[in-house]
Amino acid sequence: MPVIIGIIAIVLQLTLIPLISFDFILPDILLIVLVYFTLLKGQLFGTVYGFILGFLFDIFSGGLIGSAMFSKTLADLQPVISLAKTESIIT
Amino acid sequence: MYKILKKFYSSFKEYIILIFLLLVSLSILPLNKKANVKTLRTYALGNMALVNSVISKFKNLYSLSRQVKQLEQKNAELMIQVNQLREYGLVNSELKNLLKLKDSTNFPLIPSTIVTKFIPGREGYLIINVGSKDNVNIGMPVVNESGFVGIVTDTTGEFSVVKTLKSPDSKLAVRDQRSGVDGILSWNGNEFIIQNVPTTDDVNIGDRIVTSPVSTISPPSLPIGVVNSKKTSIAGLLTDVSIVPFVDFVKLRNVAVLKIISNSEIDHIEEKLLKEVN
Repeated sequence: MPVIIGIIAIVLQLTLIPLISFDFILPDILLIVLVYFTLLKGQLFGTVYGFILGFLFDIFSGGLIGSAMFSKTLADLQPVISLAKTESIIT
Repeated sequence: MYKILKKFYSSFKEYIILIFLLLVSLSILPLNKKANVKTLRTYALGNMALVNSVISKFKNLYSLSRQVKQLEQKNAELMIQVNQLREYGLVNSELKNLLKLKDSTNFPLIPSTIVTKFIPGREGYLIINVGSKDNVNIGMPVVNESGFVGIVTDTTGEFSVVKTLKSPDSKLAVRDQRSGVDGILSWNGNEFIIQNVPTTDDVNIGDRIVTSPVSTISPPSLPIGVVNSKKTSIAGLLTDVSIVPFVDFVKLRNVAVLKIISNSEIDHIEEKLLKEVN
């Protein structure tokens, strides 16, 4: 299920999202999906999920293969750490 | 040792996998130059281009309609600008001609602009934006670059009323510049006419008509117009001469007041003569 949602997010990111761009600044819904599933299923899942979606994104976008893989894999680390910090502050 | 490694792995497996995957990503980057990867990327690009072409059709529709609106707005702005420039051009040419007139005439001129051409109940009158404060007095002739326009009939501090040749009660002594034949020019509501010119008088079509030296309200030789046609009356003794004026009273915008007034001494002698005749 997360992979299907991820693929839909990639397609939307590459097709419809540029239509609402403002001076080439556009929201990254792929990152939103990644953060959502990482928070839902944990850090390890998020890392692998980011790696796979990054790879698919590189393939679909025709960009440099490896660039989105690297950035999406790394991007998933941050929300978990932030969440852990927030929880530790609260408790 | 194995236990330690296992414990280390279980404690930091997220980070170990993360580093591993990051390294894999980095190691893939140099492979982009390989032919197989290039083929894969080309194939992916082709598919994405197909999807994007469908979407871009809708996108173009939206952006084109927006562009059309912007261009329409721009077009309207430019139209107004062109109109203004055309207006400035016309005013510029008129003012240049007025300056030429000012240089060529011996009379001092007071330049002015027409405020209104429509005075209710007074056909053929107009109001100009100079008045008694600018030393404009009743009786002063008004001209433009083409010729005689009219006479100042009333003044206030800053405005003056001008009775133009197109006023029904306007009568002006004029002369055929070629032959020297005098006559009285009037406006019959349709055309300018010099009425009752003897048929024996030498007036030809195309002759220039100017203000006559016998006129007490305007200086002599101010251009009026040209003879357009002649109509002989039934008796065959008198002719009505039709004149086409040089001044375009419809397009009239800027005029100048000639700073002279009729000679009161001449008027006085004329009045005296009239009294003697009566």
